[in-house]
Amino acid sequence: MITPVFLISSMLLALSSTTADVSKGKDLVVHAEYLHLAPGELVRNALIQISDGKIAAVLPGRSAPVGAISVHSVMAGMVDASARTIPSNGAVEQSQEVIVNLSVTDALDLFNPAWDRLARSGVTTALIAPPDYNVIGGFTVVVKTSGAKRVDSRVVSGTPILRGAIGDIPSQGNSPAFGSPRDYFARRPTTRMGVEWEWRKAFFDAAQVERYPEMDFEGADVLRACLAGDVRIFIQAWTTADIRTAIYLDEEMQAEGYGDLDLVIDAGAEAWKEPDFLVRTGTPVVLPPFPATGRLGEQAFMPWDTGRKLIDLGVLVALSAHGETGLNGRLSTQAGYAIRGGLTFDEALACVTTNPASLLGVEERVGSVKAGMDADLVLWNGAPFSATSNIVGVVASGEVVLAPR
Amino acid sequence: MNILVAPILGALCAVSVDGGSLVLQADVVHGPEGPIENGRILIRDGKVAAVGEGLELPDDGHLIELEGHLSAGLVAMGDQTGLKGEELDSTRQVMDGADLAFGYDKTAKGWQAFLEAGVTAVLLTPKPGALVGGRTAVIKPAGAVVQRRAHLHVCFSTAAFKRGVAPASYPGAISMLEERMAAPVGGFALVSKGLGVLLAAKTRSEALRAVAFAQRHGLTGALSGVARAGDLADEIHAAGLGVILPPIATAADPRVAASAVALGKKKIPLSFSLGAASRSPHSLRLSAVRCIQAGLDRDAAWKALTSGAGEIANAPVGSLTVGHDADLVLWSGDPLDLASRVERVWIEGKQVHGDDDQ
Repeated sequence: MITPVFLISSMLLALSSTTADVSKGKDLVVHAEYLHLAPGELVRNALIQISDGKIAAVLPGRSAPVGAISVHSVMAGMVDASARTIPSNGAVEQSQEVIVNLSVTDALDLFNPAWDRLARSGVTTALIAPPDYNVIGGFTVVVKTSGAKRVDSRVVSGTPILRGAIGDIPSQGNSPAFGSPRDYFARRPTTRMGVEWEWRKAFFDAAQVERYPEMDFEGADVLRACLAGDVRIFIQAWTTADIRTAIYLDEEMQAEGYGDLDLVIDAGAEAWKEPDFLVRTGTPVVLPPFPATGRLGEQAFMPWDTGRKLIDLGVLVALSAHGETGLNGRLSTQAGYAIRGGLTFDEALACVTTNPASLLGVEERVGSVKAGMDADLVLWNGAPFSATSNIVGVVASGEVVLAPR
Repeated sequence: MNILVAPILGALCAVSVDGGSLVLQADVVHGPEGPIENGRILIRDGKVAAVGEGLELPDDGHLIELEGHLSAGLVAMGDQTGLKGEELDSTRQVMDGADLAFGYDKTAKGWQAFLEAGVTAVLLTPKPGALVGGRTAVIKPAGAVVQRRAHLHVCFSTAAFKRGVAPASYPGAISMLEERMAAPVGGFALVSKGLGVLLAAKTRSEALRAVAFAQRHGLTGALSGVARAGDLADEIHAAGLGVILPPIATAADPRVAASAVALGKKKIPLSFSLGAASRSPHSLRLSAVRCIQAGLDRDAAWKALTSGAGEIANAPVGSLTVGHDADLVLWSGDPLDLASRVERVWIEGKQVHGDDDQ
């Protein structure tokens, strides 16, 4: 009975011109009663053939071959655009408030067991950003959450993204300088006002280099690439005041003729309060995990229907679990909470797959179940995101990281 | 205490042979090519002049027949004994011009315990706490400095980050190192001319970064302090680096010794650090024995205590190679048997520890 499947997969293998990479998963076949190819694209009784870590073919209207993994529902592996699975110690260079020429790639610890938990919770791709102690903390990196414990093999190349924060966090722990300052904590901003000034100063100084080349400084080229829209900027802004500040920054740069920032608001819990700022600038938002007790970071408040409100206004929304992998906080549960707040199933699916993938510029590789894309699948024993279903299996780059029992 | 030690050492040296040559014979001599039954070592001017079976006694020679195993002294890596507050200069995070040798105090009271444990060479390393803590040195306990600049010590762990000063992060630290390597002066100039590096790290991800750094710049040297370096054996092998294993106590995580076995399978040069500030120099042999118990090849473990460690330390220590200093230990039995005692110790052909009534 197993023969036909074997034949098809070996034919596919023979056709595929890529050199076989032994580290990639063996050939695998998954059968789904309901297969969500992408938001709004559902097929029934589909076979997903996987070869060399990629989806080789999707064949709807088939019955499950003997021996194949067969489950109720399958959707693409989830993408968390704010996964935060990184030790904060030593991940961001705090000796300067604005760091634009370093990447958090050099701080990744792939031996951390948190990666495995993240993968088993269904998040197969994640954006890792430097922690928020800096005003601008440096470049982020998009990684697959499972696979070889070697950085090169895990990085997914997408849009270059610089990450920073507006608000209280970059100014915490600092103090004004009295006498002769002994360390950088006496130089960094101590208020929101100071944090905002650092942002404007960075871009202003970089813009001046155009006219006054003698004012060039290390990292000015990166900041100018941001102004030109070639580097995307993720700004953490929990409260509406901080979101406003971020948008004003972008609009000021435009008004001065310095450029137009490709801005994404991260952890924008209060984006619902003054959504017009996001609408008029077309700024997407990554929402933080829904709060268990009402308040979130920086005392921001995010009601259940935040996603619904923003999507109705045309704002691109991605959900995030901030690396939480417990049942109550994981990304799939966040999608469930968003549905409770008014999102349709397909909207919620987009918020944890295709939307974050496009924010990271990796939508060609992950976020939907299509031939040629990474074989990242989440297997459910019922309707995805439903309170009565569970994630029973996860396939990442063709490897079974959580086996259905 | 120091005043007391000096006359005792002087008394022990009384049996040394000045001028003439000395031939030591033992039941087993652990020569560079392997054990020799009833082997002899000819010592002239404090150096090993010949090793073999049935060496003839020169006219000016003096033969001592010994019971037990005679070997080169052990080499302990990564220790701060005798540095007494001189093991790290806290004013700068990059001290590539600092020589640990200048902090070495040969009168420190801890050294006698090293000789009693059969350790005749020690690699002094800076205390973790700076990105570049200085240049390591190889010394003989209470004796001479053998190698003044053995390596440049570079720290890839969080110990390199001090609150309030740069670097404060892994990316920042690597960027600082890359800058120095791009325009090398001081200790970095020596590195670009071939001085080895000692890459201190703790976790496997730090070790991967350290190994990648070494490979990027074609550096020689060794990785130090990574308990589970065995998981990175392929990378370490490809980079051509050695490994200084952390001390492995009886209660240590079994994965640490298993890691040594994985490294040994790849024929990666190994050695053991001691950390004598908190543990007895006798524990050096214990680390090796724990690795043998886990499956490390016996010869590899012995090399890690002696000649292999000497190679990683970039100093002519740890082997009975002709021309090396005659730093020897007489054991009551096989030195890899923990029941064997240190009976006598010679430094440069002079007995510095043990009875002379045989």
